[in-house]
Amino acid sequence: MVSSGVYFFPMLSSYKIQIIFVVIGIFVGAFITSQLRTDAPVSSLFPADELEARSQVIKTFVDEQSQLQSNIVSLRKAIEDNQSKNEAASQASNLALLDDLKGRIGLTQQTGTGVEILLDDSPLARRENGETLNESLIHASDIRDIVNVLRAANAEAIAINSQRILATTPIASVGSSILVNNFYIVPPFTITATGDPEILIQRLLDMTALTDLYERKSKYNIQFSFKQNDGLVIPVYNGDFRLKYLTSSP
Amino acid sequence: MKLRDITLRKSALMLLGAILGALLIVQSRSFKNVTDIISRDPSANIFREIQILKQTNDNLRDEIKDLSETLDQTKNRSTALQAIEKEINRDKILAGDIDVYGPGVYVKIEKNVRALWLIDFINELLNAGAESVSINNIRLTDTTDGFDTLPLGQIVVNGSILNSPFVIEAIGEPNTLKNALLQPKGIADRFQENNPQIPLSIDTLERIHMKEVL
Repeated sequence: MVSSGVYFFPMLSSYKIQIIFVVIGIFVGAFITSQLRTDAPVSSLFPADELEARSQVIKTFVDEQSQLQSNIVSLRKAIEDNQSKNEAASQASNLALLDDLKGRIGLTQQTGTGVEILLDDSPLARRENGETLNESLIHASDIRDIVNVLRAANAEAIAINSQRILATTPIASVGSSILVNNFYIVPPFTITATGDPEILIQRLLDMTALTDLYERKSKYNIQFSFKQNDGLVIPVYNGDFRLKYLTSSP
Repeated sequence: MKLRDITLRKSALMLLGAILGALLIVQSRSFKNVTDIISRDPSANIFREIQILKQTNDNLRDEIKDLSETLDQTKNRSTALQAIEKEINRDKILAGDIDVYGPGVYVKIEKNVRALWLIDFINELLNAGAESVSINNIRLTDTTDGFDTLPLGQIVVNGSILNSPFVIEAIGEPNTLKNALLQPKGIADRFQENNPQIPLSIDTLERIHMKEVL
């Protein structure tokens, strides 16, 4: 009986023909598997009506936050005005000390030269899907890393979408929502920082400090750019200060 | 019959080869850079999102109440001085000008890690309400530099090289802070998953002392 393999490959032994079939199989299997996408498109985690309900609830909280923040800024300004009027009664040194402290904890506006950074999702990304592992979205960790780089470069004051950043500012995400100071912010994200622009830009250009971000910029077209800005205005912190457990008493 | 057996054998060999090829591709994908499998932020949870927003608004309302009381004090000359003193004391605490105390938690990472883990642990503590945080006794304030990584991998903060073990302390509600770190699929889980060989310990402390920033 003539082997089918010998019929087609008369010069080869049966053993070698079997090897050839196995190798062909390996290539076929590898080719088919490599064509499979590692990140198959994921349909939305939430149905459309749930997304709508979520948006409405979030909007209610965010609108209220804006009002409360505005009230806080007004109250702090009114207190400062009254303190100035009482300067004759207050010791001038106390007010000077207070002003200095306020400047160091984010309660005064900072102006000057620095950098302006723009971060945005890839143009084709859909944040509403709630897919946090989508590499074409900006993550809270990206913003944290940039803020860390700016701090390491001695930035004097930092803001993200007009939210002043303090040492106690959490930059977190829940799903695809990003919260700074527990306030909801949406892309595009504008990060501003006052300081020496040359040093700030040099650090931002360091790909080893922002490896993941630069990789995703290249592969997934995330928007990440920065430039010097000589007319920056870093706003006053407009949130609360939590001092329920922290005390100066031993 | 014999021809059919031979054909079946050849088909089986090809199928075996195809499976081997598929496994090779799958295995090669699993060897991707470790940073690709780190998810540094939690997955979607609408209830958690709303809880955070609600708590934030409650905190803002408390702040407004405190500020309103302070404003009333500033209108009266006799209480205005007290209000200024109170604000100065509070701001000195926030600025790191005086020693502070309070209950909280500590996180101890026994071996060298990448700076991003320290950043993420600290962020998680702040997110859970930590009022002050330190690392290896370096208190983190608004004038503290960020984490820098030197070419040989050492982590630097405020000009000081941090040596392992890394000890992060945070003042705040102890159980809230601890539970935030230890929640399922939280930062502690993610850390252990990506650094199984590095011991991690987290526990509450009745009293933490953080010194003033010099």
